[in-house]
Amino acid sequence: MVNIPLPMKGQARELIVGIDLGTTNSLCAEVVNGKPVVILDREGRAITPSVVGIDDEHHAVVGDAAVERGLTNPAGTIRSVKRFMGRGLKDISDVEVGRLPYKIVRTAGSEQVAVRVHGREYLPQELSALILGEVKKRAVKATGGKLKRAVITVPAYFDDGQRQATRDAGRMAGIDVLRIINEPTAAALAYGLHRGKSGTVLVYDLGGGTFDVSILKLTEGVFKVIATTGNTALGGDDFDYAMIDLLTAGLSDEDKAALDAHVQGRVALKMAAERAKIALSGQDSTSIQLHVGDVSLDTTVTRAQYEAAIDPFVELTFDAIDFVLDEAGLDPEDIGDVVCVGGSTRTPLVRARLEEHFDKPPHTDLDPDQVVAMGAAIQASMLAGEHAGDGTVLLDVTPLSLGIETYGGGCSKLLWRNSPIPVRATEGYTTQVDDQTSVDIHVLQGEREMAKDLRSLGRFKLRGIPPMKAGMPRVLIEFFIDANGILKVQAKEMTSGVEAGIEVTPTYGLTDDQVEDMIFDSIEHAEEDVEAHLLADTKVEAGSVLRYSRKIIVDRPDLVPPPLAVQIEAAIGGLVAALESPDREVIDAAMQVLNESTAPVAAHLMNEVLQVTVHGKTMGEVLGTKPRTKASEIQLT
Amino acid sequence: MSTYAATADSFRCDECNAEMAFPLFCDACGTDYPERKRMSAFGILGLPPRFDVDEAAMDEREVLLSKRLHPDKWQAKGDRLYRKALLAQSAVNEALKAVREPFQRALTLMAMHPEADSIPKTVMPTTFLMEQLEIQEEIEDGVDGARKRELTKLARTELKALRAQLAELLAPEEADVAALTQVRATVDRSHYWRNISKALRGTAPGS
Repeated sequence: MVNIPLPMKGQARELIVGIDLGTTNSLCAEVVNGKPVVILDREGRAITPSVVGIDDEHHAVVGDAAVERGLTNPAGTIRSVKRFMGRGLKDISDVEVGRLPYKIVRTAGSEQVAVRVHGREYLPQELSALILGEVKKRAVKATGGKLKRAVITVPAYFDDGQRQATRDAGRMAGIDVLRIINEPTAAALAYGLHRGKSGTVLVYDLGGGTFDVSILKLTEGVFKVIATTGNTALGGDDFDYAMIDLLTAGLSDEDKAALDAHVQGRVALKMAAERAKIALSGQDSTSIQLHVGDVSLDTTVTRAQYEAAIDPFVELTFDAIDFVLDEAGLDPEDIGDVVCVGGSTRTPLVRARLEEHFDKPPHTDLDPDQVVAMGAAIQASMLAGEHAGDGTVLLDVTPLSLGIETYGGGCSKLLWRNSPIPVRATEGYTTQVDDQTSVDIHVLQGEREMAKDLRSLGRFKLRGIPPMKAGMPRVLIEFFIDANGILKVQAKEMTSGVEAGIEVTPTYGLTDDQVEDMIFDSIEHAEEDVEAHLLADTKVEAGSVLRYSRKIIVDRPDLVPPPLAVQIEAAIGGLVAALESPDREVIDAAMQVLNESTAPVAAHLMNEVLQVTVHGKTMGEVLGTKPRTKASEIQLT
Repeated sequence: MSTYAATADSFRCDECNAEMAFPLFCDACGTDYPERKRMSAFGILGLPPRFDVDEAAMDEREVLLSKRLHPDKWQAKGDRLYRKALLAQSAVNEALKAVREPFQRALTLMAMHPEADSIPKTVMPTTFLMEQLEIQEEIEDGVDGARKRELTKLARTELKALRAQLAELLAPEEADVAALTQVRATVDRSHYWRNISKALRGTAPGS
């Protein structure tokens, strides 16, 4: 398809585009006459390589020019910057850093990483902005239009910080980001599956370095993501490495080391693997010859060998499919359409396996490298109001659960993953000690049970709570996730109206492995987590029971005759001792004994309460303390 | 159930007199009605407060309300209206969260009862807890494919039975505290089976 620039009189027309800001390549598309069209540059190229080259005078070149220069200037050539967006130093594995020809450093005053090139630091957002700028420049040159507004896509798995970083990059490139949308959702839009019929769609997105699978439900133009999952460390790169292993299988260890020692050797090998991969998509075997330095390679690889080598990786993607189907409560036969996204879905084995699994061929009519940008263009055009009458609405979900840390190191989940957004969730909390005037709120993201295993999104403090008895303040915490998947947290003390709020700006990021682990570890460790959470809860409860029991003896001697006092004291001693134990049941049993010893007093007090409440006094006023009602209500310090 | 807050069939906007699909926000003129936030989730969605609410009716309301309220539809209409639509759609999503899933729906109905506070906490029978513990331990020790399928099926069957039980308990026009006590126990029981389902789902990619 060719995009014909419209002749302009006076002012340039406004381009409203969708941009696929990819790890390896970026591209953009716009809607022309109701159809999404990829914008080709003047040389007819659709794709801008996501590569930035910086020379020693800090002049940057982007895209194809940077790739060319990369052969002679590897230390100033930055690839795959998407992997560092919204990330901290701790999030990037040493292996990955070791492979890079440039340095990754921590920026001053923040946990955010930066790339150091020729003695200067560049933030990932800045580098992404350069790439977006190049995409924009090409589109403007080719069409003669003006590009101000765009939708940018991100992997479904991107967390709050990564989305925010992407948005910031757009802004730096002078683009008004209408919306950040998920890549699989964009792909489904591109296929026009939102028009006409209702049904369930599975999007299989196997890119260079990440794999996403999402299930969408369509009803009369309402496009709803039901569930999404994936693996941020699985993709076509694994296929490449498998191919490289096959190609070099006949070489001696010395030759392999010699190839690996040179940038040129690695590049040549990678390119040969790419060629072989493409050849094997159409034929049963291919021959590869390669000469780098003193090393010569001449080998033949068959499709059967290659498929055997990549099968374990393909198998992993089907584990994810089964998982997401199960989460959505669906069987393979419930899926009406399967959509392929990402260059790696050109692999015949992948397509064959999908057809076998779902008993229908996947949609492959559109170029899997372009389909995301096309869908983003459709969304951009709808948001800009050009197709408001079309009636299509996109309902997205949040990919990770959100919660706040509770007393004892647990996490109270306020929003579960796969919740439709925008959404709000509120929960009430109270203080733990008398006259406590501030409450710390620690916002967490992930699927595990304990705070230490979750990603910390941010902390904030609610100050100025009027001094009150423990348990009296009513702190209401509200999480709000907007339509872009970006989070806002607010807290308010209801009796005084004191308010505090933060925009959650992540101080740390996560490694791809960690994001993965946050979901899948939680299942592995579900039992251990639940037990740890219960133990923490029990300890908090035991603390309350202890305080309450001690208070009874001191405050109400009229209800506690000496023999009973001795009995209660003994039970208190028992519980204090039991609290040393890591066994929840031991603590529970001791708490039970103490509760039983104070039961007659409690019964008497309850009677008093019932009589007094009639006269408008609260139970707390009668008891001089507030008995706990719900574990989660008194877990904040 | 007549004891629960009644659902008005339709609302008209005080400002423009348009018929409102959604009681909290008039999508014809942009007037919002924050005082109606206290309405029940069923009321917000315009659904009858019943356990056996029609799934198709629920989908239909979700589609209709999302089409009219989703903030994407309001992006080109200025910040003020966009913000109102954002809150409206989030109220729809929250209400759906309270009624969509059957066990949650039962709890939502329970909480709407005037005597909800007097419904006692569930005491789980020891035999049930023992049974659950044994299954959990078995899964922890590792189960083969056949046993995994068997247990998955068992959990599904049990959950289905619990849902049927809820339908029966919540069928009468007025459920009393005794019935709601059983509702709570049934929902509590479902948590155990759902944990088992979750534990069985365990072996996923990346793990």
